[in-house]
Amino acid sequence: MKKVIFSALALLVFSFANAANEMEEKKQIVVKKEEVVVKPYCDSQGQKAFMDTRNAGGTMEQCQASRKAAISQCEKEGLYLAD
Amino acid sequence: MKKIFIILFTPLVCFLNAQISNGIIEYKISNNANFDNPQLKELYNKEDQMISKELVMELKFDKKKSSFGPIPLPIFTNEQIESAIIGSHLTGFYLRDLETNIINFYKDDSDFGQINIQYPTLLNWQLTDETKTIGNYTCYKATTTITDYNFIKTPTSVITVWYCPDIPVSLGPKRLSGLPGLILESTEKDVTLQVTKLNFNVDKKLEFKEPFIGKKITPEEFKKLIDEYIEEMMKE
Repeated sequence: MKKVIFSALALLVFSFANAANEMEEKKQIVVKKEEVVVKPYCDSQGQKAFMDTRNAGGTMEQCQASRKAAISQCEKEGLYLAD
Repeated sequence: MKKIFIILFTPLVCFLNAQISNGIIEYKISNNANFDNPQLKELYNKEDQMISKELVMELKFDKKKSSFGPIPLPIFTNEQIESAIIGSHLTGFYLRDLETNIINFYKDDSDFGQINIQYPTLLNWQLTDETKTIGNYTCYKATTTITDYNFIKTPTSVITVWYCPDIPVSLGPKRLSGLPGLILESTEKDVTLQVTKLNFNVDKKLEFKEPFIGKKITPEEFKKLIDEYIEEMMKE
Protein backbone atom coordinates (compact mmCIF):
# COMPACT_ATOMS: atom_id res chain seq x y z
CA MET A 1 0.00 0.00 0.00
CA LYS A 2 2.82 2.37 0.98
CA LYS A 3 4.53 1.62 -2.34
CA VAL A 4 1.39 2.55 -4.25
CA ILE A 5 1.00 5.87 -2.40
CA PHE A 6 4.67 6.67 -2.86
CA SER A 7 4.47 5.88 -6.61
CA ALA A 8 1.36 8.06 -6.99
CA LEU A 9 3.04 10.99 -5.20
CA ALA A 10 6.21 10.64 -7.28
CA LEU A 11 4.15 10.61 -10.48
CA LEU A 12 2.33 13.74 -9.39
CA VAL A 13 5.55 15.60 -8.59
CA PHE A 14 7.16 14.68 -11.93
CA SER A 15 4.03 15.73 -13.81
CA PHE A 16 4.11 19.20 -12.21
CA ALA A 17 7.83 19.56 -12.90
CA ASN A 18 7.34 18.65 -16.56
CA ALA A 19 4.40 21.01 -16.91
CA ALA A 20 6.45 23.85 -15.41
CA ASN A 21 9.32 23.15 -17.83
CA GLU A 22 6.97 23.14 -20.78
CA MET A 23 5.49 26.49 -19.74
CA GLU A 24 8.99 27.96 -19.42
CA GLU A 25 9.94 26.66 -22.87
CA LYS A 26 6.77 28.17 -24.35
CA LYS A 27 7.56 31.52 -22.74
CA GLN A 28 11.07 31.50 -24.21
CA ILE A 29 9.72 30.70 -27.66
CA VAL A 30 7.29 33.65 -27.48
CA VAL A 31 10.06 36.08 -26.47
CA LYS A 32 12.33 34.84 -29.26
CA LYS A 33 9.56 35.24 -31.82
CA GLU A 34 9.02 38.88 -30.85
CA GLU A 35 12.73 39.60 -31.00
CA VAL A 36 13.09 38.02 -34.43
CA VAL A 37 10.12 39.81 -35.95
CA VAL A 38 10.15 43.18 -34.20
CA LYS A 39 13.80 44.06 -33.51
CA PRO A 40 15.29 44.32 -37.04
CA TYR A 41 12.18 46.11 -38.28
CA CYS A 42 12.28 48.60 -35.40
CA ASP A 43 16.03 49.13 -35.80
CA SER A 44 15.47 50.04 -39.43
CA GLN A 45 12.67 52.41 -38.39
CA GLY A 46 15.09 53.96 -35.91
CA GLN A 47 17.76 54.36 -38.60
CA LYS A 48 15.24 55.99 -40.90
CA ALA A 49 14.15 58.45 -38.18
CA PHE A 50 17.80 59.26 -37.42
CA MET A 51 18.65 59.95 -41.07
CA ASP A 52 15.43 61.94 -41.66
CA THR A 53 16.24 64.17 -38.68
CA ARG A 54 19.86 64.49 -39.81
CA ASN A 55 18.71 65.50 -43.30
CA ALA A 56 16.30 68.01 -41.78
CA GLY A 57 19.34 69.72 -40.19
CA GLY A 58 18.90 68.30 -36.71
CA THR A 59 21.62 68.06 -34.11
CA MET A 60 23.17 64.80 -32.92
CA GLU A 61 20.94 64.87 -29.83
CA GLN A 62 17.84 65.46 -31.94
CA CYS A 63 18.80 62.56 -34.23
CA GLN A 64 19.46 60.27 -31.24
CA ALA A 65 16.18 61.26 -29.58
CA SER A 66 14.33 60.80 -32.86
CA ARG A 67 15.85 57.33 -33.34
CA LYS A 68 15.03 56.24 -29.79
CA ALA A 69 11.46 57.56 -30.04
CA ALA A 70 10.91 55.69 -33.34
CA ILE A 71 12.31 52.42 -31.94
CA SER A 72 10.28 52.74 -28.75
CA GLN A 73 7.08 53.48 -30.70
CA CYS A 74 7.74 50.61 -33.10
CA GLU A 75 8.38 48.12 -30.29
CA LYS A 76 5.20 49.22 -28.53
CA GLU A 77 3.21 48.62 -31.70
CA GLY A 78 4.97 45.28 -32.21
CA LEU A 79 4.12 44.08 -28.71
CA TYR A 80 0.57 45.26 -29.15
CA LEU A 81 0.24 43.24 -32.37
CA ALA A 82 1.80 40.21 -30.66
CA ASP A 83 -0.90 40.34 -27.95
CA MET B 1 7.76 88.42 -27.25
CA LYS B 2 7.99 92.00 -25.96
CA LYS B 3 5.98 91.01 -22.91
CA ILE B 4 8.57 88.52 -21.76
CA PHE B 5 11.51 90.65 -22.81
CA ILE B 6 12.22 92.50 -19.62
CA ILE B 7 15.64 93.93 -19.16
CA LEU B 8 16.80 95.06 -15.78
CA PHE B 9 18.90 98.13 -16.37
CA THR B 10 20.70 98.47 -13.13
CA PRO B 11 24.05 99.82 -14.18
CA LEU B 12 24.68 103.30 -15.50
CA VAL B 13 27.13 103.92 -18.30
CA CYS B 14 29.58 105.62 -15.95
CA PHE B 15 29.44 102.58 -13.71
CA LEU B 16 29.99 100.25 -16.65
CA ASN B 17 33.07 102.14 -17.68
CA ALA B 18 34.45 101.46 -14.23
CA GLN B 19 36.10 98.10 -13.79
CA ILE B 20 33.81 95.09 -13.95
CA SER B 21 35.27 92.34 -11.81
CA ASN B 22 32.52 89.75 -12.23
CA GLY B 23 28.96 89.33 -13.40
CA ILE B 24 25.93 87.16 -13.95
CA ILE B 25 24.06 87.61 -17.23
CA GLU B 26 20.78 85.87 -18.02
CA TYR B 27 19.42 85.06 -21.48
CA LYS B 28 15.98 83.91 -22.65
CA ILE B 29 15.57 81.42 -25.47
CA SER B 30 13.48 82.18 -28.53
CA ASN B 31 13.14 79.20 -30.85
CA ASN B 32 11.76 80.09 -34.26
CA ALA B 33 12.31 76.71 -35.84
CA ASN B 34 9.82 75.65 -38.45
CA PHE B 35 9.62 71.94 -37.79
CA ASP B 36 8.43 70.64 -41.13
CA ASN B 37 10.20 67.37 -40.49
CA PRO B 38 7.73 65.04 -38.70
CA GLN B 39 10.42 63.61 -36.43
CA LEU B 40 11.52 67.06 -35.26
CA LYS B 41 7.94 68.16 -34.91
CA GLU B 42 7.24 65.14 -32.73
CA LEU B 43 10.35 65.77 -30.63
CA TYR B 44 9.88 69.47 -30.09
CA ASN B 45 6.26 69.59 -29.06
CA LYS B 46 4.21 72.37 -27.53
CA GLU B 47 5.28 71.41 -24.01
CA ASP B 48 8.95 71.74 -24.97
CA GLN B 49 8.26 75.12 -26.55
CA MET B 50 6.48 76.25 -23.39
CA ILE B 51 9.34 75.04 -21.16
CA SER B 52 12.03 76.60 -23.34
CA LYS B 53 10.28 79.95 -22.90
CA GLU B 54 10.64 79.54 -19.14
CA LEU B 55 14.26 78.40 -19.28
CA VAL B 56 17.04 80.80 -18.46
CA MET B 57 20.59 80.41 -19.73
CA GLU B 58 23.23 81.91 -17.48
CA LEU B 59 26.61 83.44 -18.32
CA LYS B 60 28.82 83.87 -15.27
CA PHE B 61 32.29 85.37 -15.24
CA ASP B 62 35.04 86.75 -13.10
CA LYS B 63 38.60 87.78 -13.93
CA LYS B 64 39.78 84.19 -14.43
CA LYS B 65 36.88 82.07 -15.62
CA SER B 66 33.48 82.10 -17.24
CA SER B 67 30.70 79.54 -17.65
CA PHE B 68 27.52 79.19 -19.68
CA GLY B 69 24.63 76.79 -19.10
CA PRO B 70 20.97 76.51 -18.09
CA ILE B 71 19.72 77.49 -14.64
CA PRO B 72 17.93 74.46 -13.14
CA LEU B 73 14.19 75.00 -12.69
CA PRO B 74 12.65 72.96 -9.88
CA ILE B 75 9.15 73.09 -11.40
CA PHE B 76 10.27 70.91 -14.33
CA THR B 77 11.84 67.46 -14.34
CA ASN B 78 15.33 66.98 -15.74
CA GLU B 79 13.81 65.07 -18.68
CA GLN B 80 11.50 67.98 -19.53
CA ILE B 81 14.38 70.46 -19.38
CA GLU B 82 16.62 68.17 -21.44
CA SER B 83 13.91 67.76 -24.07
CA ALA B 84 13.32 71.52 -24.29
CA ILE B 85 17.05 72.21 -24.48
CA ILE B 86 17.58 69.60 -27.21
CA GLY B 87 14.93 71.41 -29.27
CA SER B 88 16.92 74.62 -28.91
CA HIS B 89 20.31 72.92 -29.38
CA LEU B 90 21.65 74.33 -26.14
CA THR B 91 22.71 71.11 -24.46
CA GLY B 92 25.90 70.88 -22.45
CA PHE B 93 27.85 73.24 -20.23
CA TYR B 94 30.66 75.62 -21.22
CA LEU B 95 33.56 76.43 -18.92
CA ARG B 96 36.21 78.85 -20.11
CA ASP B 97 39.62 79.59 -18.65
CA LEU B 98 40.18 83.27 -19.44
CA GLU B 99 43.92 82.99 -18.75
CA THR B 100 44.70 80.02 -21.04
CA ASN B 101 41.82 80.83 -23.43
CA ILE B 102 40.61 77.23 -23.55
CA ILE B 103 36.89 76.45 -23.65
CA ASN B 104 35.79 73.11 -22.23
CA PHE B 105 32.38 71.94 -23.38
CA TYR B 106 30.91 69.24 -21.13
CA LYS B 107 28.42 66.91 -22.74
CA ASP B 108 26.76 63.96 -21.00
CA ASP B 109 25.68 61.91 -23.96
CA SER B 110 23.44 58.84 -23.85
CA ASP B 111 25.60 57.08 -26.48
CA PHE B 112 29.09 58.58 -26.05
CA GLY B 113 29.12 58.98 -22.27
CA GLN B 114 30.59 61.98 -20.47
CA ILE B 115 32.84 63.88 -22.83
CA ASN B 116 34.71 67.15 -22.64
CA ILE B 117 35.28 68.80 -26.02
CA GLN B 118 38.04 71.39 -26.02
CA TYR B 119 37.38 74.27 -28.38
CA PRO B 120 39.74 77.06 -29.40
CA THR B 121 38.47 80.49 -28.40
CA LEU B 122 39.58 82.43 -31.43
CA LEU B 123 36.73 83.44 -33.76
CA ASN B 124 36.96 85.62 -36.85
CA TRP B 125 34.35 88.36 -36.53
CA GLN B 126 33.00 90.59 -39.27
CA LEU B 127 32.07 93.86 -37.60
CA THR B 128 29.41 96.13 -39.09
CA ASP B 129 28.08 99.64 -38.41
CA GLU B 130 24.50 98.40 -38.18
CA THR B 131 23.01 99.26 -34.82
CA LYS B 132 20.07 98.13 -32.76
CA THR B 133 18.82 99.32 -29.40
CA ILE B 134 18.41 96.61 -26.81
CA GLY B 135 17.00 98.09 -23.65
CA ASN B 136 18.94 101.33 -23.15
CA TYR B 137 22.02 100.06 -24.92
CA THR B 138 23.15 100.69 -28.46
CA CYS B 139 24.38 97.43 -29.86
CA TYR B 140 26.38 96.71 -33.00
CA LYS B 141 25.91 93.79 -35.33
CA ALA B 142 28.70 91.29 -35.94
CA THR B 143 28.81 87.92 -37.64
CA THR B 144 31.08 84.93 -37.50
CA THR B 145 31.20 81.45 -38.97
CA ILE B 146 31.35 78.63 -36.51
CA THR B 147 31.72 74.87 -36.92
CA ASP B 148 29.74 72.70 -34.55
CA TYR B 149 29.87 69.00 -35.43
CA ASN B 150 26.80 68.46 -33.27
CA PHE B 151 24.89 69.61 -36.36
CA ILE B 152 25.72 66.50 -38.34
CA LYS B 153 24.73 67.48 -41.85
CA THR B 154 25.44 71.20 -41.78
CA PRO B 155 28.06 71.75 -39.07
CA THR B 156 29.11 75.18 -40.31
CA SER B 157 26.76 78.07 -39.72
CA VAL B 158 26.80 81.84 -39.64
CA ILE B 159 26.07 83.34 -36.24
CA THR B 160 24.75 86.86 -35.91
CA VAL B 161 25.24 88.75 -32.68
CA TRP B 162 24.53 92.19 -31.25
CA TYR B 163 27.23 93.39 -28.87
CA CYS B 164 27.35 96.46 -26.68
CA PRO B 165 30.66 98.43 -26.52
CA ASP B 166 29.32 100.27 -23.44
CA ILE B 167 29.75 97.03 -21.50
CA PRO B 168 33.45 96.21 -21.74
CA VAL B 169 33.12 92.45 -21.27
CA SER B 170 34.37 90.41 -24.20
CA LEU B 171 32.05 87.44 -23.65
CA GLY B 172 28.72 86.01 -24.80
CA PRO B 173 26.57 82.87 -24.94
CA LYS B 174 28.00 79.42 -25.59
CA ARG B 175 31.55 79.83 -26.90
CA LEU B 176 31.06 83.26 -28.46
CA SER B 177 33.64 85.82 -27.40
CA GLY B 178 36.31 88.24 -28.61
CA LEU B 179 34.18 91.29 -29.40
CA PRO B 180 34.74 94.75 -27.92
CA GLY B 181 31.66 94.48 -25.74
CA LEU B 182 29.21 92.06 -24.16
CA ILE B 183 26.98 90.09 -26.56
CA LEU B 184 23.37 90.94 -25.63
CA GLU B 185 21.76 88.89 -28.40
CA SER B 186 22.88 86.00 -30.58
CA THR B 187 21.16 84.02 -33.31
CA GLU B 188 22.38 80.59 -34.40
CA LYS B 189 20.24 78.84 -37.00
CA ASP B 190 16.66 79.18 -35.65
CA VAL B 191 17.45 79.95 -32.04
CA THR B 192 17.92 83.42 -30.60
CA LEU B 193 19.22 84.17 -27.13
CA GLN B 194 18.29 87.56 -25.73
CA VAL B 195 19.65 89.11 -22.57
CA THR B 196 17.08 89.65 -19.82
CA LYS B 197 19.18 90.46 -16.80
CA LEU B 198 22.55 92.12 -16.25
CA ASN B 199 24.16 91.91 -12.86
CA PHE B 200 27.74 93.19 -12.50
CA ASN B 201 30.16 93.17 -9.57
CA VAL B 202 28.02 90.81 -7.54
CA ASP B 203 28.75 90.73 -3.86
CA LYS B 204 29.70 87.06 -3.65
CA LYS B 205 32.45 84.79 -4.91
CA LEU B 206 31.29 83.08 -8.09
CA GLU B 207 32.02 79.38 -8.39
CA PHE B 208 33.06 77.67 -11.59
CA LYS B 209 32.88 73.90 -11.20
CA GLU B 210 33.29 71.20 -13.79
CA PRO B 211 29.97 69.30 -13.93
CA PHE B 212 32.00 66.07 -14.32
CA ILE B 213 35.44 64.91 -15.39
CA GLY B 214 34.72 63.81 -18.92
CA LYS B 215 36.94 62.19 -21.52
CA LYS B 216 38.86 65.05 -23.16
CA ILE B 217 38.54 65.16 -26.96
CA THR B 218 39.03 67.66 -29.77
CA PRO B 219 36.13 68.77 -32.03
CA GLU B 220 37.63 66.63 -34.81
CA GLU B 221 37.68 63.58 -32.54
CA PHE B 222 34.05 64.28 -31.69
CA LYS B 223 33.23 64.35 -35.41
CA LYS B 224 35.00 61.00 -35.78
CA LEU B 225 32.92 59.56 -32.92
CA ILE B 226 29.72 60.71 -34.65
CA ASP B 227 30.83 59.30 -38.03
CA GLU B 228 31.68 55.95 -36.45
CA TYR B 229 28.37 55.93 -34.57
CA ILE B 230 26.40 56.46 -37.80
CA GLU B 231 28.48 53.86 -39.64
CA GLU B 232 27.90 51.31 -36.87
CA MET B 233 24.18 52.06 -36.77
CA MET B 234 23.84 51.59 -40.53
CA LYS B 235 25.51 48.16 -40.23
CA GLU B 236 22.90 46.93 -37.75
